[in-house]
Amino acid sequence: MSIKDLEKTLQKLAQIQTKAPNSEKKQQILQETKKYFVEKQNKSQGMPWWHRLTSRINQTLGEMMKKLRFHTWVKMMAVATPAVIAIVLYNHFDELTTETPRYQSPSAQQTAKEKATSTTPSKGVATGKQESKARQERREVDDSGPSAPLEEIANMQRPSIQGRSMANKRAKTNADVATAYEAEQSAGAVQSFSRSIAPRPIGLPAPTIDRDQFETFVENGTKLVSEYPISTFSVDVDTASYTFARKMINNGQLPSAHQIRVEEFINYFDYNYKAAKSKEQPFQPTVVVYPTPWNKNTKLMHIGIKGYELKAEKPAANLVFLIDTSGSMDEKDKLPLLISSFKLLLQNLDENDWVSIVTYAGSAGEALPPTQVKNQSTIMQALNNLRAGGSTAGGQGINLAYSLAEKNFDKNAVNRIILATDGDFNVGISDPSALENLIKQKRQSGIFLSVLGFGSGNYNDHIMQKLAQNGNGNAAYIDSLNEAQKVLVDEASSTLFTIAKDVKIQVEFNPKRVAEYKLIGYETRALKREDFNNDAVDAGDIGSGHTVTAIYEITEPGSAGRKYDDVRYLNNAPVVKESENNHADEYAFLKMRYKLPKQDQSKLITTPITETNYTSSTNTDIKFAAAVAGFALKLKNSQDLQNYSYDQLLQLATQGKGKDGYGYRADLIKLIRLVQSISNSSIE
Amino acid sequence: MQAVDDIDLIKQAQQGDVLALETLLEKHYAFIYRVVLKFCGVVEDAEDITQTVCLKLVDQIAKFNFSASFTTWLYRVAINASKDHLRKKKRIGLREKSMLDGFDFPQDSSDDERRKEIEDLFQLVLLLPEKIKQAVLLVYSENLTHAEAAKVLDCSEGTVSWRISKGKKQLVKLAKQHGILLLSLLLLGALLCR
Repeated sequence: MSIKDLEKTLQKLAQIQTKAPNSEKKQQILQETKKYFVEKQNKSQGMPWWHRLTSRINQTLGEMMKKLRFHTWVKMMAVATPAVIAIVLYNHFDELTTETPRYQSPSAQQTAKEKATSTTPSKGVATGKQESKARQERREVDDSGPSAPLEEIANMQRPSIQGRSMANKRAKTNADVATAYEAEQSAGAVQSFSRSIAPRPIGLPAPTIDRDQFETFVENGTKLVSEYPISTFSVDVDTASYTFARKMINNGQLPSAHQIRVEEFINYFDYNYKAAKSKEQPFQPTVVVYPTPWNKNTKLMHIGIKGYELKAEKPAANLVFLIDTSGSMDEKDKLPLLISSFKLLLQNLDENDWVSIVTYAGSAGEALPPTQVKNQSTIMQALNNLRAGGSTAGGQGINLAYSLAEKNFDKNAVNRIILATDGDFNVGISDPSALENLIKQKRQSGIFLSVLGFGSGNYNDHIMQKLAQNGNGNAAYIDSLNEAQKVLVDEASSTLFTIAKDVKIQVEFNPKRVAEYKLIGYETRALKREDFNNDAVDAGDIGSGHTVTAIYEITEPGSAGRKYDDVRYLNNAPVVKESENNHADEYAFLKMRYKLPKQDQSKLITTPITETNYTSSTNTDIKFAAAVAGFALKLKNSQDLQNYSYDQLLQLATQGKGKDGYGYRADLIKLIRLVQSISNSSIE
Repeated sequence: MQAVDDIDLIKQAQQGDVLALETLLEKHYAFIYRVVLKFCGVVEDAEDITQTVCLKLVDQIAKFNFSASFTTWLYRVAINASKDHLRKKKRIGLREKSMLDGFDFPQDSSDDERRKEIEDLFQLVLLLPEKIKQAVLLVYSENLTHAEAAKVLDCSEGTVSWRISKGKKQLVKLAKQHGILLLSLLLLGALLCR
């Protein structure tokens, strides 16, 4: 009997909880363990010093996956003729890929092999092309010299791997002219490079590149299907490029070419695509092929996806606002706008959602402990009490924000930190890699990070993108209350609730139907062909109801719009033999990979793009997307649109305006007019 | 069961990836701390032991061969580290001041006496001989089955069951010795029933 009662009490031991471990002590223990691990590694492996150095640099970058690539880099820089090596590497990447191409008959595959190994006629042609390209690149490399600073290389390498150009975005930092200049150069290099040689993302540094060369590259962005049948990239739902350009244009300035990421322009707008059927397959592609508005000899292949819209099942939210209240935020388009923006967001939250506020300026402080949204007045008061002053210590603020998010952590809710800043982390971030690592780790524990950028003059897109990217979040730039309304109210669920992560797109073109293609935008998000199936490679995330659009310009084999001449010898080679598996009516084959928010294994969606996707009369959405793409390309001075006037563009955009409930499209039309008048006045 | 990403992290850490190791530790830190604290009862000791466990993980991760689950392995390392630590410290006094600081005892019942009952029993469990204590805590506090506990303790299932029944007897005895009101009453009740 006593034992039986004892048993009852013993059962209750399971209810004993231990209090959370002391986080300071925890960090200390983890640091020491880490140190011990590194020392042990170094001892046991007896690594040469340079090896350790490179791994240290990698750590700093916070991207272990890239280790291999970085080594390749270092080696390449050490060798006097990097361009040649790179070209050789490229060819191997293509040929080493294990997948069987869908559209090549066995004989064609053999031809491809011969191209690399034997002396068949096709070799001469291929090598000739490579050589000219190699020459072109060698020229650039000669300009820069092989001794470009490591950091710059690292920066340039990043976009090509993760598909995002920090260098590109760095150019927006107006505060430091020198930095901006340097960034402009490296951004130009990255762009020109990925344009010329994408989809192969390894780039060669060409920090000094003048405008002429840049434009040449724009034109060469078109790729031959016979050489590069496969195009791979990561989705991008960011919109910062459009908003930033809009702000500049409204101020009477034209943004420079590298500040424009065409895909971010296109994706700023919402399109009415086929809705996804279920949360498990959170999107399905909408594909339309139609004549290019600015080129009667080519077609546009429009691939659109719309993320599944969470409605009733919208999860609860546990949000921590991490607000920069440093001195630099004391401008009317910064802190005051931020406060009003958050007030907007509050209205969109459920009354049981949790909100807390952490500020950072000099020292981090808890401005509002976790509070349920139903206590609106408390939250409003906390927001109203925010004042700017002091210097910024971003790192400490982030720590405090995470600890608050953990306090209320609910594994079924969206646990997200929303960092609002002008991107200025000038104090307290002695080790950026530590900050990045922290964010990465927290991402794995389920706390994501989004970044909202404010103001200009101090705007540091570079760090902000880096942080959002590591935190599975998105980065948006808020230039007005209207924009806040769009990001935080109209699209709150896309901004806050991720429905698919690491979304990658791969398109294989059918050489029978498509001779040349050009991916419009996504230069900074190119992926290696083999990265498509590699789940360890990070890619963009899609939020609830987000739409993502990618547009290819394709040229058919018989078209007069081809940019490349027919090759003399290859044509006679049996590139495509009539056989049962050559899918004669297909333009291309579309593959998409994604992971559900809480999973680590990717899923695959495939669909052929056929005749049936073709239409000569497009709907308003498609027209509008084409107009946005055209506008962005024109801002980039693309030669493709030289003969396409702003008037024609305006007409297309107006046709595509549709219902435009929020007036975003009207806004673009206004912008086109503004640009038209700015560029007219600058010509005169 | 270990999640797929644990396996990946371990493999990466085995190859010398600091970030993987750090992520792994970060992920399981709370678990290690919890187990260790339950076995030693004092926050300061638990922190020391957690550190030892982390260092041991670094030493031994290369040898981890995925035959047991990572959790089982962590339990084993944590329990052994606690045992070593306590052996060094000789034994914990029942009324050590900071004894229960690191715990949250169930608050659901308004009944303070029942709460006290659990607290007291837990303290008695900590006084049990090491091996018996291990079996009792794994089964009752960590909610492992006898089979799972056997895996952690590297003994047979029967041994676990035997240790637990022995533990119960000793607990009744201990309760009597320490004159804990409620358990004594229970014991008295039991005697009266006979």
